[in-house]
Amino acid sequence: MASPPDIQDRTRAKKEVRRIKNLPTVPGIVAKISRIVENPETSVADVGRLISQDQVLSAKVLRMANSAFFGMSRKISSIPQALIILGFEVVKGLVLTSSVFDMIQKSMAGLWEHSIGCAAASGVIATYLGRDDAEEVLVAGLLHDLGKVVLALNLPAEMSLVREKVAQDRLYFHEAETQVLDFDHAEIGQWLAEHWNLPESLSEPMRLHHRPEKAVVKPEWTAIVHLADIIVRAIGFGNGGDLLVPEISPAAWSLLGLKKTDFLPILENLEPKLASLRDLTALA
Amino acid sequence: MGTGERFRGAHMGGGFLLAKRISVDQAVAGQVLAEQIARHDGVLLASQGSLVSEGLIRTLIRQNVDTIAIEEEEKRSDAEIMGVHDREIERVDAAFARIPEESVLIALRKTLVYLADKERDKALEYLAALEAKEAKEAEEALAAKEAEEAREAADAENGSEAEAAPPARASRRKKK
Ligand SMILES: [Fe+2]
Ligand SMILES: [Fe+2]
Repeated sequence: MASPPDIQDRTRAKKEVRRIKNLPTVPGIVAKISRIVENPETSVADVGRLISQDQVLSAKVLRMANSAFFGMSRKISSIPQALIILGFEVVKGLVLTSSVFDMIQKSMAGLWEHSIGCAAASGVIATYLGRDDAEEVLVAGLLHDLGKVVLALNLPAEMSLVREKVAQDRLYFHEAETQVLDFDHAEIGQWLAEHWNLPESLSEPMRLHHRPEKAVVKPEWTAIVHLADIIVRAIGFGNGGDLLVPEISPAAWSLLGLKKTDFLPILENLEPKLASLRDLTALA
Repeated sequence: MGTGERFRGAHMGGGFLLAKRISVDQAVAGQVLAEQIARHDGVLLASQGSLVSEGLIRTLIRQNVDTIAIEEEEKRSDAEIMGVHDREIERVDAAFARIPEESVLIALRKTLVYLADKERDKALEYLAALEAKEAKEAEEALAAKEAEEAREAADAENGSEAEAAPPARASRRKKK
């Protein structure tokens, strides 16, 4: 894959981000999964067995798999079954999310709710658009703000400055981040994604959900996550660091081909999901 | 595609419906399931949104299902509901503070306010009017563009057979 644009930005961000000492290592289980799937001999059953070894983690993954996110008509009762029904990338995303769940919870009040809300909204929008990859888009929504977790846990002093600015100057969180740090959570997210070897389809929405018009790998996914982020904020579910609705990217809007009248059915499809997702707010 | 009456405004003020987990012996016929119930082997016993019946309760006990999620409307006085409603409108106003008037997101904001007001009909009316207006504007823009193109083509031909290229169709990206 060719280097994405604005490489200079990223080099600068990387330099800056080296100041972060205790970068979260890729969760052990995710590293193991990545390693074993490199072996062409590996079967779905092998991956299933590996994940199932960690019972706490498996339980969390199954709770998410059975939640209103996916709206499965049948209960998914095992990891191998989840792998067959949801696919490998989706399960890997859920494993990753479950293994950093405590980190997300600890980092910022409301961020977990913001993340699952954005995931649900991403899934709803993708389904509304008639896409067959809604589950994967949903995972991209789930992970989109992971950069904030790193920021909160590793640069707490900067983080409180950012929060002060958000409160005082009515700034968007990423604007305040840029003022304080000269980079934002989207760039940290990208860096983290590279560090963790996430596929570009997931790292691009992390990096570009505030500038979706720059996306080249999966522009639709990034545009959907961008709109989903706007919609959960508009509804007031969770807290992504500021309570403002960001302006929509015109390019993303026209890429999705939605009409203003589509907001109503999207909100109506999302609402019952958010109501039942309250359960997932206490995943631990 | 909308789910019609299912819009419950859990975050929008007004009748708050919450999912509440209860043990099966607290279940009463007539309650609404907030979540589907599946047997341990995955067989579906009841779907989300269906009503609890005496028969279902007996089945659940027989199948060793311990808890179910039901919908529960929070009890609120009119004054409280009004307060919640006003706060919701205030919240929406504050959240959209930096959205310019010409943004497509103003439609999202209006939709949210109508929903908080429990005015689904008005939301539909507003959106339909908006759509009609936009369709008309798009048509006019297209006509203007075609006229412009025809004029340019005629200018280029400069008096000879002023044959305008067939007008380009407006290409709106279709939903997949
Ligand atoms: Fe973000
Ligand atoms: Fe976000």
